[in-house]
Amino acid sequence: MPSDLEDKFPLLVQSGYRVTSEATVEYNCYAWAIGKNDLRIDPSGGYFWPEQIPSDGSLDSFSKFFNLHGFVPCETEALESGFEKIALYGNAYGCTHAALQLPSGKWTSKLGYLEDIEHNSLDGLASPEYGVVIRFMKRAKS
Amino acid sequence: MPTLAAHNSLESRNYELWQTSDYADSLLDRSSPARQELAQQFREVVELQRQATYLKTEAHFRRFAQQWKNDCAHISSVLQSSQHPAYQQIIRMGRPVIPFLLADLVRTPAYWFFALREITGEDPVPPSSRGKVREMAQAWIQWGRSQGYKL
Repeated sequence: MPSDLEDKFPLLVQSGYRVTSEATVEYNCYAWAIGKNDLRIDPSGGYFWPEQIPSDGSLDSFSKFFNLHGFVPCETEALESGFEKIALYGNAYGCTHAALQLPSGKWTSKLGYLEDIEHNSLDGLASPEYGVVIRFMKRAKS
Repeated sequence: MPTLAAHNSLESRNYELWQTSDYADSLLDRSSPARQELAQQFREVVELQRQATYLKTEAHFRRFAQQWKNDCAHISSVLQSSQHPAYQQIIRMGRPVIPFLLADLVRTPAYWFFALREITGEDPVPPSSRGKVREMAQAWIQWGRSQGYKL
């Protein structure tokens, strides 16, 4: 499967990554970013999505979703003591992916219906499907 | 499973019988064995055509589904992955593809919730199950059984 991942995300090879789970359909990146591994969160398809937040898939709507979970926008990906950060990727479809920062400063991502990975840089997932990082958010660690 | 060759053979035989005027005359009698045999053959042709349509739909579904999984398994956004041409082709297949979507949900509780909502205009998933893919799949499978699909 790693070769499949590298086909989809060729920049992962040079930035460095490792697979940290089996592939599963039970949760997705948005759930993984808020610490859940038993839920798929998505504004489309009848998955879990708060009624009070627009279901247009836009960056602003996902920002509101993560704000419900304590995240507020921040400027950079720099590691901050006492905070955990997420990076939101986007392209013409809106918000396409969320990655969660680990205490080491590396990032963890659930890739669609595939595996979780730990990746050394956010650029590793830059791709036509994910686009690029367009917003950082942070919340105090509980 | 009847084959297309058997189907063609049956149609050919019907045509030959039809050429015989005595046979045609006998069809005017509702109780004649010839008429009953023709009715039975007609039912067989209809069933063969139904099965041929089913097999064609299944083949198309499998091809589009595999193409979509190859291209989109790594994509997180349902809004994005559902716009893939293969996924849109599956949606455009309409209600005949529903049994294959439901059967795939039995194997893997994922992928087709968006398509089922688009095709049926329904969503049997209760609010408490949204996002829990096994419960979502179970709700759709129960819906399918209530609609008469064999699962």
